Amino acid sequence: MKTLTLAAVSSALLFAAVLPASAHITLQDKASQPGGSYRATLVVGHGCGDAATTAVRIQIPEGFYNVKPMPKAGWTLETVTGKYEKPFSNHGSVLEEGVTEISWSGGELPNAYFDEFVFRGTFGPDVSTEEPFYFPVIQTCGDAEDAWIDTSGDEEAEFPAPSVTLSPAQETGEHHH
Amino acid sequence: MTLLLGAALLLIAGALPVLAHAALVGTSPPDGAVLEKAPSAVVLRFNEPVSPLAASLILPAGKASEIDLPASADSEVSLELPPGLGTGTHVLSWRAVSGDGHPVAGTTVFSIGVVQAGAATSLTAPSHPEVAPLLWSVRIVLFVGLFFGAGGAAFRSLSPVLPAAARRFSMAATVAGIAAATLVIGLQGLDVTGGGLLGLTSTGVWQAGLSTVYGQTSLVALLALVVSVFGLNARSAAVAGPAGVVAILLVGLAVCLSGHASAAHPQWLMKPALFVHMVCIAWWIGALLPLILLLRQRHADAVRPLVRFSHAIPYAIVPLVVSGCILAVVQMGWPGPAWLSGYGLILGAKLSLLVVLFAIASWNRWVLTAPAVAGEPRAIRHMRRGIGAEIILILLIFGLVSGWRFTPPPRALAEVSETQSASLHLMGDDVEANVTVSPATVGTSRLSATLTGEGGEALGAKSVRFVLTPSSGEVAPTTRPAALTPAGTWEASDVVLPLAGLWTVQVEVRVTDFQLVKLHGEIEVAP
Repeated sequence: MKTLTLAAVSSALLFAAVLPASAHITLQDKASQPGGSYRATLVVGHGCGDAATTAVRIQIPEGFYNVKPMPKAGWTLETVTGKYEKPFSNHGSVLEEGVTEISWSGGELPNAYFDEFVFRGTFGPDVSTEEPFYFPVIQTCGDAEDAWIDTSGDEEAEFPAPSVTLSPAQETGEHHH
Repeated sequence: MTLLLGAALLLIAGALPVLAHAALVGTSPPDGAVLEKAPSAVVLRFNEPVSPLAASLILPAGKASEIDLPASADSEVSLELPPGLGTGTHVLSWRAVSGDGHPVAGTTVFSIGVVQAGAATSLTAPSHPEVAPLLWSVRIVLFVGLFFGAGGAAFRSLSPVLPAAARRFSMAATVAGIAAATLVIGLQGLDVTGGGLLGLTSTGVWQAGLSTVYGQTSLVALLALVVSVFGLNARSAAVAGPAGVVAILLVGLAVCLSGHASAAHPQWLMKPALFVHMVCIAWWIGALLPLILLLRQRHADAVRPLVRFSHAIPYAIVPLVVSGCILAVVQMGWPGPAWLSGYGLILGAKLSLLVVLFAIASWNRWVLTAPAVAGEPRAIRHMRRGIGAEIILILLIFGLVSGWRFTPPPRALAEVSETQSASLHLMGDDVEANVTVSPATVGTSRLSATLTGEGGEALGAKSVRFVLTPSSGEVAPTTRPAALTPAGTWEASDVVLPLAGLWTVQVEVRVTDFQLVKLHGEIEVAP
């Protein structure tokens, strides 16, 4: 009996831990800090409804610089570059522009499977640690589309944008590479 | 008699300006909207079907451009705008006529791109104040002609002998009525097209008058009056009686064709009720004057008509009262606070006069008729006075009833308040929205939103969603995608609001692919 309860509780916990991830598009990796580099793994756990995912577009907001996406077999990788509002100083060299949008398209990810889409970059030094940093994502499934672009922070938002909350930088003077 | 008529005319003419009975419920784009692109059409929504009569668009440069009108009557009138409208503020001026024949007019303003300072935002169609009072006076002459002319002719179905004075009076009323019925067509045309008296020389105005329901009323009234002339002058009573009856039936038909009782629902009930009401009144009123005159003359001539009248009158009064009750209840609703409105007060005054009227009529019928028939002079004298009093009361009732033309019935007022909408101005980051919920009552509503940027400039969006949540939390939120109308507003129709009370309205604007702005506001939903 006891084992059964334990099993039930642990499976419920497991479920609770898994549920948000399976219900939304999320960023798997733990938070970085202002000025720190970040490897972002976008987890697409389902299609649009039952429809298979055929493209994923992600917007890189101001504050996340020097972005490089990871290519994916079976998907066409494209980026859009644009001017930064504030030039980013990267190891002495000043970056005026960079990737503002990444898209992986032409693939086929059935609703029954999940996949990851990876890119990395560096957070600007003045990114807030109080509020989540959102990466709006548009998931395309053939003709259908789910726009994960809600950055309001509403708990009940139907399509919240994936986000990461930065932890305050440690005052060690350490330089990140 | 002349004095009485004069008094009644004054009473009626003293009534107030016209209050139209079709009401504009909303427009799309909403009045004052700032749009990104020129709308292809402006949609006017009314609480009941209207026929558009004229519309013109005043362009930012101040030039007017005529707008083609849709042919059919509907509660939604879509006015196609000319292509290639430039930026700036546009004023659409329109006139329409409602199902009960009352004209309505208004203007709606929208701006493309930018709001133009000093634009003619309060522009209205040129008004001709002399037309409306003239129209009402002429219409009163028409009704006097119908009731005393056709009613007098109908009296010949009771009495082959019509006293000469009564015949002369009925003929005069009929001829005046014929002139009035003709003039009313032209004046009605002026009323709906907004022209001045000089417009009477144009055939277009007469055509416009004929095209309204009052045009049909006038034509049938003319027919009724022509039949009356025939009935009043026919030598043979065998022809005169039926002609008089046909004339008052036509009076009933004419009145049924226009006016707000005729526009009320259910039509299958209201139209017949109005018809019966009018025919009975015409028959009753038409008989009163000839009866007085007969009672003054040789007693022998008066007996037969008096006996026949007193036998027939219950058959007129009972349908009159029953149809009157039906009309009152449909127009007023069951007795309640609505009965204290202007419309209700007039009805109350009318009912009080009716009590007195019926008391006199009953006294005449059951107390005086027998001795009068027997030739008792005192009874005859009392009866003449009694009938005279009835005529005065009926004229007073006429005066009251024409006051109804100026007070919309509670039915119509309720329809307007039912369709009353709530408006919200929501502000968020970079986006502002004017949201209209129409009606803001429990049931099915239409939501519309126009979007502007922070500077008030028009704003395009990829998509818009409405999310409605009752603050009581008893019902799950309702989410509806909005569609972009040709007019440049975002609309969602058939949004069901199941509960009264405070609701949160959230407008989710997808400004660009990746930017979503959520605007919040609250509305009170009436039960």
